Amino acid sequence: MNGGQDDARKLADFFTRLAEDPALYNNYLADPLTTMRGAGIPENLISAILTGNIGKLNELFTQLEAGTIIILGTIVRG
Amino acid sequence: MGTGIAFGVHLTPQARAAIERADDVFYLLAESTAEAWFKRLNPSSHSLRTHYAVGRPRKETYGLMVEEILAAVRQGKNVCAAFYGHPGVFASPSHEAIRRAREEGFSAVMLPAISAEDCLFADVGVDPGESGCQSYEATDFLLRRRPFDTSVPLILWQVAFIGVSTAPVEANTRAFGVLVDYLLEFYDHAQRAVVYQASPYPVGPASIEEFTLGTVRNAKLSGMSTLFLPAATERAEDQEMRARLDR
Repeated sequence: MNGGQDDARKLADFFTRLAEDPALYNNYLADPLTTMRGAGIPENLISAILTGNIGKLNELFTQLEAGTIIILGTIVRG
Repeated sequence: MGTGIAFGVHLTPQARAAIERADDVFYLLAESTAEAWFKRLNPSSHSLRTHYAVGRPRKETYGLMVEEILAAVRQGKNVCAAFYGHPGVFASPSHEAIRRAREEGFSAVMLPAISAEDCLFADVGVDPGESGCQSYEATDFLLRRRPFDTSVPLILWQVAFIGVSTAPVEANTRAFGVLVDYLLEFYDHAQRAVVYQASPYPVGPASIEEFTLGTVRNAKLSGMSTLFLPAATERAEDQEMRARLDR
């Protein structure tokens, strides 16, 4: 397993816990930096999260599952 | 129902109850990272992601989703179909599944949720009550040359996949250039242009990239990129109408 995949799994797990655990989410809202460091999130990813660098996060997660882009949309009438 | 854009934290109590009470749950989430969270809400959850395939027309993909959902409905189950965002906004299969279920005599309802447009209003600071809001799917906007007003904010959706009717693998930058050229027929090069993407993750701000219309073709687009142009001009009040209202 390479470092990129390790980071991706760690961050995916952190996001899942944030979605499920109101206490952890509140901790994040009160002190995002300490909460993310406590979860072992690497500094470069912490920076990406705090600055809204969604492209970097998306790129990281493609290491876990690459493939087609999921687009839910409207079919333009032809 | 919809899960909202930021997974986990945008889910309404109403939607959560629908998921937890359902016999069968079908879901389509933009982020595969959200799936671990979603599956724990109801163990009887099936991803609709499997219907996407490179080269397969999206219309066909959506048709397969609808068929899978309806097959469970026909078995008499209490079925919940969950889509990211708002289930009724830029979501053909949810509308079609409800229409067909009702046509076949089943009861079906849509629960509202937070859409990408809701996030844009909050993140970019747009109030559609101030001067209105024009919101178009980008391919439809171009192909039908939808009339628009430069004194009203303009939102164009799915700008990365203009003219793409299959499962996309990368942005169609050439077609985005066609859109920019078309807009430059109506706006100045210096017109503010925002490439926006709401955060699909539970925390972190949106991506809000500022350009001018003259430079926005260099933007790196993602699947969820939206183009926002604020109003470029002011529209004066019609004095005759003002007089009629004041009478």
